[in-house]
Amino acid sequence: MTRPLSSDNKDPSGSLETVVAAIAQVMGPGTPPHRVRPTDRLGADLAMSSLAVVRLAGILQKRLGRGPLPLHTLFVKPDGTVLHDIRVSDLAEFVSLHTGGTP
Amino acid sequence: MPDTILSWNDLTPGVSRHCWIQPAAASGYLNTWCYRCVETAVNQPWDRDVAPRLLHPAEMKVWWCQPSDAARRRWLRGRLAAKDAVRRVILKRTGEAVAMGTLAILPGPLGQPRVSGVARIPPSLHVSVSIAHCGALSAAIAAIAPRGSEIGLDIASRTDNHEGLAEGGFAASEIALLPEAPPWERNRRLLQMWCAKEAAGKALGTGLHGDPLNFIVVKNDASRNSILVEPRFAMPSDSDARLPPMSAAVGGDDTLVFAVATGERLP
Repeated sequence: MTRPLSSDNKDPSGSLETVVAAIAQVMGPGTPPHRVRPTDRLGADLAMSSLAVVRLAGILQKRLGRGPLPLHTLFVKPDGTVLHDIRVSDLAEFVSLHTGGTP
Repeated sequence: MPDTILSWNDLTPGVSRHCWIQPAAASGYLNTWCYRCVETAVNQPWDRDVAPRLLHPAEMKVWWCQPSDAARRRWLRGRLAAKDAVRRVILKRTGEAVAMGTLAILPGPLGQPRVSGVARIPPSLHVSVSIAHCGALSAAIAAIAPRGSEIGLDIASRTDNHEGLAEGGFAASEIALLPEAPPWERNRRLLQMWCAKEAAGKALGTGLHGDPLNFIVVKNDASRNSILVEPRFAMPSDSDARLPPMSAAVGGDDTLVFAVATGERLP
């Protein structure tokens, strides 16, 4: 299944495109950007290990040219509960919020 | 018994299962065994033949509920390695060759594997097991440990691309512990530090608790193949408690690195 990234105008900040490109970079040739959907879960659907998720955070930091992204706030809820998986769209929204864009 | 220790690879076409001495020897526990399970029939449905024969009925349900074919094969690989290690530990301790399907290694509350179906182990002890995955390979380590103590294992491939790991997984103070060395050596040490964090989290039963900076490497002693990791997160039950530093033994070869940690499981 393929999905246009920005042509539907639902990614005005470009965050989704940035996240998808970074995921493709982490996952390698077996996961080209057009195979990554916003609804995909990083672990269950894309089979990303914890090491891969940490690499993703590092690559996003470099792509965005900024310091550490508080990615852990996506995984730990205010009550301390730890989420074991998030969706690509959650990450795109997070990146948008932390780079001054509009989700 | 059709699946005795000595005939195991005949029972699992599609994977190759072998003892892995290094992590077990590094663990610090006396009765510790580590096994690897490598997929040889990549992307083939070997698991559909193997799972019904070697899994406990409760494990079958978990295996079947995995989100994809690849996830089912990965999960089964890990279980086979874990069952091999647990069976070997029990054989050494009690002389009993437990059948594969009798053992149930099921996910605990936070996903950590828990062994049941083991008789003849004194109540003060238990079989602790930890599972790790890397590409087409899964590994598991098992030990007879005091009840409440756990063992944690993590592995990583030296041949994979690890761009972003230093920036995304470590504080500046941790990166400063890496020696001035050629890139391949720094990468090996970095991977060992990563595995040490993961292994410590597994031994505590918390995992990384959502943030790799919840476990900070405070000492990297290359001469002793030992890494000291400090857990830095507060438990909801006792926010003032500081967890003691944990020591992880590290090692590896040309293709893999590993870390083994032991600790007291948190409630």
